[in-house]
Amino acid sequence: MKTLQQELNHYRGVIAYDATLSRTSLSAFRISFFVLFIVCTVSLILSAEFNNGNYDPALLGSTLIFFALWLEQVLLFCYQNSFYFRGFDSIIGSAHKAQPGISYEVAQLLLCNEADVTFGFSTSQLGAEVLMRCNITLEEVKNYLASNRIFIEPDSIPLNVKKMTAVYDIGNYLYGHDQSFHTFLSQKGVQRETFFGALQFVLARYTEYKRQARWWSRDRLSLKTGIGRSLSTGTAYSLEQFSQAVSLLPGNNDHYSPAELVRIATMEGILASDRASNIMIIAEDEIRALTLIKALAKRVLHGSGLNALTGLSFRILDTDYLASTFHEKYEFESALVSILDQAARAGTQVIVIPRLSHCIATCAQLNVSLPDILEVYLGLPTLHCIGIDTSHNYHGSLQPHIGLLHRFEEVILEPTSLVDTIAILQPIVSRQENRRGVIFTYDAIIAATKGAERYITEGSMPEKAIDLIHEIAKQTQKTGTVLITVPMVQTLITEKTGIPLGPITPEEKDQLLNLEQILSARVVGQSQAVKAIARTMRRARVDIERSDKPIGSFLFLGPSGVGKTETAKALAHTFFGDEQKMIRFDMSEFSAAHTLRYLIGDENGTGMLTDKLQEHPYSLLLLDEFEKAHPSVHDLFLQILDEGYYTSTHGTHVNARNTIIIATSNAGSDLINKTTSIRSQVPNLDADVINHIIETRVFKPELINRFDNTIIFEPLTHTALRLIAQLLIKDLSSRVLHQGYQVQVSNELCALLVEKSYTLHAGGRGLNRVIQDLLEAKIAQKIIAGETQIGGTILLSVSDFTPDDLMLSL
Amino acid sequence: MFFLTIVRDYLNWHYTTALVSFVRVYKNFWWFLTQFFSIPQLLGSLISPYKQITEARRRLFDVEGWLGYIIINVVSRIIGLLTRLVIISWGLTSLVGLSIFATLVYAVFVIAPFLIVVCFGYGMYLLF
Repeated sequence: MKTLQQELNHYRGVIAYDATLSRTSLSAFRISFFVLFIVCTVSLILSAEFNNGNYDPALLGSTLIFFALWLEQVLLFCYQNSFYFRGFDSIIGSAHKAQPGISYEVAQLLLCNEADVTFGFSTSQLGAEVLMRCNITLEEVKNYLASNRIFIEPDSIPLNVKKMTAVYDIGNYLYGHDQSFHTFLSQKGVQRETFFGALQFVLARYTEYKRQARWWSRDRLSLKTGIGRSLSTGTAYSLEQFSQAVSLLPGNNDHYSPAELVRIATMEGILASDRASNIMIIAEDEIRALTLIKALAKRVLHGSGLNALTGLSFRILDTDYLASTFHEKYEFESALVSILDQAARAGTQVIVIPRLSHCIATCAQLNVSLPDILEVYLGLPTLHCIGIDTSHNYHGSLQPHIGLLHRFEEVILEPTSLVDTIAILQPIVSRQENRRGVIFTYDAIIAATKGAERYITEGSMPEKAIDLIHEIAKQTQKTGTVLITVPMVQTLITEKTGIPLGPITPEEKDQLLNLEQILSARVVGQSQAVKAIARTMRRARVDIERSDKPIGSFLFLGPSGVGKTETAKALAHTFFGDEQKMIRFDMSEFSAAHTLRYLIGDENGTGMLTDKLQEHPYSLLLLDEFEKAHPSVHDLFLQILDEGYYTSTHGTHVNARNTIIIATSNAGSDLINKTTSIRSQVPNLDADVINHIIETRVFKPELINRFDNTIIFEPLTHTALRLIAQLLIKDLSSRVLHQGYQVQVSNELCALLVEKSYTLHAGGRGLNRVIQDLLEAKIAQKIIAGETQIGGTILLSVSDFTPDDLMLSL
Repeated sequence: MFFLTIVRDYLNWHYTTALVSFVRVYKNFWWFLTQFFSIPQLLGSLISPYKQITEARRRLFDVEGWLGYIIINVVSRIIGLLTRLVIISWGLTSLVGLSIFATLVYAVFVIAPFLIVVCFGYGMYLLF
């Protein structure tokens, strides 16, 4: 094996030449010399014609010189390519022999500055792009390179003995061994994932560019569709009439995630097998399923699929068109049988049936049993079928047709994961960048992927993320900005969803830091609860919580009227800016087993919870009297609290990750009330109450554990009730002020109301009711009686009420 | 000196690596043409019916049906054979053309360094 210096010496000449004349300039020279050579040759022939066969020596000389120059350029092009594509093996047919050494790009960056690898990396075309995608400006890179630092010399880099040392290896080495480089990245906020993600992104893009440039490689040549193959395969004319070739589907994305490539290979294996060679794709996203079938069809067409599949033709059957053409049962049935008959005889047809359950229903309208007809043909080895349907339809509508399903092999298409989505997005990002003249930072791509997954509820992944990428690129192009960064993506998501993301604004900062005070202004006497909520909300806003759970989830325990609902309202107002953003369910309405369907839907409807969450994905979900709900409802929330989503009866993925979930319960109130007087002797009230609830089997322990926080609301103290009374009277005064009167309530009356409310353990709610019943009624009476003129003050004291009035209300 | 090193490296490459690479690229194009004209598939199904168009088999005593079955099958196979032979012959012609072209280019490639010097030198001589 050669040493690094030997490797560098090997490249030295060609890289020096490349530094003088770039590949683009070389191509321009080559084409120019060729054109001049042709022009001179034609001129030479024409001049010989006009001069009785005598060649003009000057023209002949020019022709020979331009031929020599052109040939020289062609040879140099080949010479340079030999280095440029070294170790870049063709995909199809070439032996993947390990080729140790260094790649052209590594040699280029090492030879750029032989005393400083970091300089070479940071100023090379690829390295500079990596740093730019990490949101580091050119100026910052220049300042870093000019700083006082220890240089890494090329000889310190170990060569890979088994494979070619590539730019990725250099980046990896520098990140691990160049302390100053590592510190520089950290100071710029570039995490390990971002640096390596950006490095892989840039290299994948560059590799694709090189692959395209090497048009003489087998993998490029194989993209040309051959002729004559259809002569040895069969044709089904009836099928062609009522179907569309899969290859004609719109979209030309040749990039698939690793998981999708596995699915394509699985489908290929099933079609090639002798047994059940029919596939049932269970997928929520039909378009993605069809895209994978198109990928498989392309493999077969280009001859890169399994030999057993050679000549197969993939066609999408249009049963709606068939049903609209043949209205009678007999005609329809005959046409369908003829299609299947011909396809089976041709022996090369793969019939794709999207939404199989819908097709069965369409046929059933004409009294035709599609499952019975299909069952006969799908048993034949000469006919293949690929059905597509959602999980819900598969388990609901298709499962009764056991005979038909027996003919299929299931392929489940899981929703695309985050890593897979990023892999799919990379070529799309590249295309958008080329088209719009913008550049995404790597973190912006991640933010778009995570943002689409978490905050955009309409549609499925990866389409949501793709749409977001398109939209942000288009918007940025209009503003004239080039670099797309994370805050720009977050701003777009906020515009689309109303969810505050991105940098915290000064107003928001004040609100978050003073959340305790803001909540305490409305919620009196529950300082522990308020503190716990404020902590959780701050965590959620800076996005350090798990993103696969709701924003926050709380179980509020305590007797009636202690401020549980008021806290929820105050939180909705503070966090979402509007109390109307609170979705409230009285869970006592869901105490029977069958009521679960009212929440998640059934065959007749979509369900209240599903509707509300889809209409207001960013909201507060208040579950009042949660203990009264049926255990099956508790189980539903067990999943929501854990995963942040649930699947509705219709198979829809309902996202609850942008909600704050608050469940309130009176469970344990007796214990809380009993211990009020001896609070100082009960140091672990929270634990005692929770244990009591578990022992009495009100909630399962796992359900309680799923909440972020279980908060005990203690009975209101005298002082707290007095404060609440003042707040309520203030609220009443402001309402009456709108009518043109002022209200003044005497201290004695206020104290009496508080005292009575406290004695009856009625809490804040009781106080509110008393104020409504007693004070509002009296004010109304005084206004009607004309005791006070508009602009005057209505004075209320104990003497205004008879003892009976007071007894009645309290 | 540096220029001489480059020339030496180049000539070394020209008469070793490049010749091997030339053969590999030639093989790529050979492979492409055989795939493009589907020669292996067409040879494998040389006498199969044209686009697999055949008549279904008849019952044992249906003489008329059997006659139709035989005639249609034979005609379909003859058409299939002829069309396949046409495409195979195009493919083979392309392969022969590729081989002749590759041989010529190979020959030019081998003498290319000398050819450049001679053409350039003689051209200069004619011009001045």
